[in-house]
Amino acid sequence: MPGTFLLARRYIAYYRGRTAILVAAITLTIYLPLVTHWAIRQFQEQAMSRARATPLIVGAKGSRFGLAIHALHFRGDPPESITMAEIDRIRASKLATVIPLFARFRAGGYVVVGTTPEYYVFRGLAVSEGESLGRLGDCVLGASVAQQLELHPGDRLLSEPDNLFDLSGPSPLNMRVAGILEPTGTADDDVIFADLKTTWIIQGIGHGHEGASGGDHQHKASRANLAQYAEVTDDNLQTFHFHGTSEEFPLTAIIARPDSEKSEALLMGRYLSPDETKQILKPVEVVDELMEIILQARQLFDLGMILLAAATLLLVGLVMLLSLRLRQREMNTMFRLGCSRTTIFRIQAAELAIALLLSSLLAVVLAWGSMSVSASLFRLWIV
Amino acid sequence: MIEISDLEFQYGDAGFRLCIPRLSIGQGEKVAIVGPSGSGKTTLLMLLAGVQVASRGTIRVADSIVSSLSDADRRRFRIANIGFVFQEFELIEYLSAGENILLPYLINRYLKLDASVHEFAGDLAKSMGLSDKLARFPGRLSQGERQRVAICRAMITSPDVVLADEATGSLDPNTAKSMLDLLISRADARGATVLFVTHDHSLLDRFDRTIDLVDYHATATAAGDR
Repeated sequence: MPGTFLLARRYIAYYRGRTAILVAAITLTIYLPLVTHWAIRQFQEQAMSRARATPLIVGAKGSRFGLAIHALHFRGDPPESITMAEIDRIRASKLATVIPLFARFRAGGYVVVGTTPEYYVFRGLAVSEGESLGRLGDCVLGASVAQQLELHPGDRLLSEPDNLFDLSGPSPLNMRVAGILEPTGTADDDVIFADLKTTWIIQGIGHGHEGASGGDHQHKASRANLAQYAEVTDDNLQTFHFHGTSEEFPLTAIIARPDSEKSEALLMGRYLSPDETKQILKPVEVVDELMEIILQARQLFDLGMILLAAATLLLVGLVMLLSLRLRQREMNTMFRLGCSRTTIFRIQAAELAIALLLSSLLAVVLAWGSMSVSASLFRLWIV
Repeated sequence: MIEISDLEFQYGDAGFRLCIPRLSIGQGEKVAIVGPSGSGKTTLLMLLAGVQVASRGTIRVADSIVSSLSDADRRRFRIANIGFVFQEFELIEYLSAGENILLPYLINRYLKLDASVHEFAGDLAKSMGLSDKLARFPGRLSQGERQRVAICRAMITSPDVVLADEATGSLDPNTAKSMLDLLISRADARGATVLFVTHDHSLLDRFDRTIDLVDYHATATAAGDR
């Protein structure tokens, strides 16, 4: 009957306030579980896809989750350092190719990741502005970092000292921004990349002898125990050198890429000894374990949502019953004019259906909007 | 047109009882129904319309014996034969005046809403001086305008019988008379019978006949008119 939906539409349009409250309640009931479900799924997909793309990680013994999360997403406290000797050890085994990572320091509030050019190829990173790392002391910014810090190629970025109160510690390094990476929607957007040697200079292992301060006035300032920094320039580039043997230089993790399953198994076997001070892990397994924990938490959340939905349904039922009472006179009039009870029920059902449809659409649009706006949040959730 | 015989209706054990041994109303007749509160005036209209069912007796309206119809048939009978004008007009607040006039067509699948109905509704509204008020909601209409919309709604199905329950009760005397004249003229145009419940004795001269329910065996309750 064409009048059924007309009457339902007119009722909803006339009592906008009442309808808005009903729609808002139903929308929230649909939106919350929907956005949570999508968010968790997106989080899972992002976390798992990066883990799947990373065959093995080698690092110091300790928290498996901590090492995996830090090596994959550069989040949380850096794990204990291992040394470059571990790189030599894996290379010598000829079981895997390796990518070293040293991500202990920060600049502008973002983690500085020291690595080799293989990492950019491995992650498919490309420079969108400026150029890739050219010389010692250069850095390349992830897309989000560049946006947040409003930096461009040619700008300078000072590393943060490891300990503000350790005056005898190494000077911060004033890095030159060589380029900016294309956005990837991954953790690589939120970090600063530098050559491994650059991060060792920040660590204080390497230094230059001339022009180690940023000019005369800075030099004077350093003597007054104010801000002092090292800077690599064309003039002093040749003077930079490293003390100690390279196999002692620190790393926070190594990404190992075995060429076969057999090599993978063999390599993993080499880290099984109880005396071993390093660990090797498959990120996909560790992240999977992490997801299981999240899923358990999600089950509790789902239960809460079911209870919330039930409560909302009961409230909607109550509202409908009260509405029926309030509209008894209207219903009686319709009945006296020949309207059947079934039609009266249909009109009420159509009103509820329109409210449900509006709520569902609104919830989906809101959820979609939330997910679009906060896509980058999921990376931030990984701490 | 309307024949009632041995009618008896009782509301549970409340003490109210309406008994009409014999009553006959002719086609096109305009009848006022009077009586004290609780004498069964509204109940009589509801029985004639088939909204309520007599416990005994026969009600015949046109060719239908209303008292013996099933629920669904009584509803169909009501759609086909009865036009209602209620005491408080009972317009639907969320529908415009025009939609209120068309309401019987919007809620009954036996009535087909087509261009001719829209045209008829327009004519009715014009004859009632409502042409420029059709888009307004009842809340934006005066009492007199609401009353006229209610009359249009009662007439839109061209009923054989118009039942009006104190339809001028909330209007001032002059407006009440002019409204009644409008209703009667519309009913006359259709040849419809009008049963008009009223407390206002100044209106009685406009009717062919007056039925006082005190003359029938009705027992009033303290709860007011049924």
